Amino acid sequence: MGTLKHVLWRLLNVVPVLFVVSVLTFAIGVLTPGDPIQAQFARTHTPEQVEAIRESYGLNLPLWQQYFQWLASLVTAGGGNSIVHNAPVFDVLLPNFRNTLILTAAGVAICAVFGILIGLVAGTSHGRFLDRFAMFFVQVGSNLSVYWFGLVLILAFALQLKWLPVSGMESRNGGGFGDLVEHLVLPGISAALISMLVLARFTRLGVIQESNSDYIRTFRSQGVPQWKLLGKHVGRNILPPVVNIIGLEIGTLITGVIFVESVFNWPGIGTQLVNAVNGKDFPLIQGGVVLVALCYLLVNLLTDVAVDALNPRIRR
Amino acid sequence: MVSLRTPQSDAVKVLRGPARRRKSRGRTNAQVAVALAVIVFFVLLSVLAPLVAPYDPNAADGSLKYLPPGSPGHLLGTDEQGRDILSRLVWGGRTSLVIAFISVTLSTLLGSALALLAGFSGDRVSGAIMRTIDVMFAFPVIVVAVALAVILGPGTPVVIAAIVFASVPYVARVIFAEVKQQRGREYVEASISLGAGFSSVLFREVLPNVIGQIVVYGTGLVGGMIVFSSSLSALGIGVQPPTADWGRMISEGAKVIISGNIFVALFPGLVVLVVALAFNWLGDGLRDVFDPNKRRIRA
Repeated sequence: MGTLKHVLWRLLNVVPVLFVVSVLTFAIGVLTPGDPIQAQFARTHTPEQVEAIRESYGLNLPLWQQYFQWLASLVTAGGGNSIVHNAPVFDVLLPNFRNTLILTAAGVAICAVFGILIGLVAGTSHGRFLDRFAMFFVQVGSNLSVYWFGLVLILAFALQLKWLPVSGMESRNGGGFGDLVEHLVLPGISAALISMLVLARFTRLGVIQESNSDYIRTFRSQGVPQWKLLGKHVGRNILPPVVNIIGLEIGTLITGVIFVESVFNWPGIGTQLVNAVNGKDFPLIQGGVVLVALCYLLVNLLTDVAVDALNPRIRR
Repeated sequence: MVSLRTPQSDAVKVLRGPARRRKSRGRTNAQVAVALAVIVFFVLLSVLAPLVAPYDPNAADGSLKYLPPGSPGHLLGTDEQGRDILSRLVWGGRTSLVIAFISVTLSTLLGSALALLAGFSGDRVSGAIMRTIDVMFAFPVIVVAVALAVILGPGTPVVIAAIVFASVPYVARVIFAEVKQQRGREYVEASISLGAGFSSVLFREVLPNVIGQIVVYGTGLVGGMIVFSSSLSALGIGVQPPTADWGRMISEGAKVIISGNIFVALFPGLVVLVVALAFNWLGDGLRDVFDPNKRRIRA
């Protein structure tokens, strides 16, 4: 019961954040200069017709009414009409958003598995060559531009070695799950890179701190084997902060994914949003912002709940 | 991309005995020296760009396309328009470094101001400030950048504004924690009890004690922000052509990488990496100077 109450409280906390997010997102439309309606229709329509179109978009109402209209349109009208595509925003975005989610999920998986692995290896060999080597790798990697790193991967593994496809999401003649995975490897690694290294740092630090603690020293002196110490005691204690970092890093990862999409021609919402910038298609951008922000909030919420569930000290 | 969570020492230094200590200090000093040398070198290049760059960065020559590195007269080769890559790198440094400096300065100033204010005002004001900062965390940086780009139009201001929006919450949080710690110290109580006013306590007592932290954190940010701004420009919502910019050069080079002209994109990426690393090293070294007791174990 206590856990449920806790989750509900967290949910309640999200409400003001949602409100601010929605107001700021709405503000994008208000603040975008220029008159997209004019630009789009002035040449082919009479001024009266242009005015009628403006009316149909509800752009003559007071701001607060427009805000509520926009909120309603998110639910009922698919986020309003995209100016460039002349179709409901979510109809345009959702198919690509699915692809973005696939890439993000791959990124999270790579980040979690390899981040923790590197951290464990470095942490357990603290101060020795393997640790130094891993930390050098982490430091250099953290300063790489995701965009450029993606290019280098393409150059090495797609163009030189020809192990993996250069870009896109599936081969021209289609292909099943294996084909998708092949296309996911390089962009997934690029998108995960920075978060993976942050996670590796935290895991390593956690392992070192825990390993130096008194209870571990006692266990070790009693002859408890290393793997059992790591798996049962150290692992358990560093898991909550590690999960927390993974959750927090998803924001960084989403940003990485958008960059990576442009490098690998991944058909996600990143490309759509950048194109929307050039077309001043603010409804599309608003829709994109809402989608990404909602996902991010949801992930943070789930992370909080997961961390609480993993931490026996907070468990009620 | 950026990870702003970083600036923190990876080196968990468990100092044992004076020899060990001397060794680690020596390494730190060498690291700072190298980092400073690299930074000074690139700053000088950018400042002296008109004198140093062998060619006009935008002078295109169709007959000189894709010269490989080492070609006579074009040390690092030429790009798809026959422009000299070395000259573009030198001029691009101007754009990239200026963007990073301006945006990091703005965000450290703004973030620290918010942190000081929050740390020294009542629960209500400080609560409001910290809640606002929580909300800022709810936007992934890229979303902010895209939104700003549609409002302002793609360009340099977008990059600066996006960096400020993205890093202010982190700066504010880190410095706020520091300010709160200082606030409980005796010297603050003493100066209050001696009748010092709000601003006097804030600026003459507390600020000098957190300024080190602020400088350290800001320095650590610069590297990441050079990387981030280069990525934004590469994406097309940052610096616009034909202005030479490291990020822009990477994305222009990306288009010709398939045809085997790999150097166009390779060089600017390497430069970004080296400069960003240098700033991180400098930040780490500065932390050791300003904040010696945090050298041990930091989570």
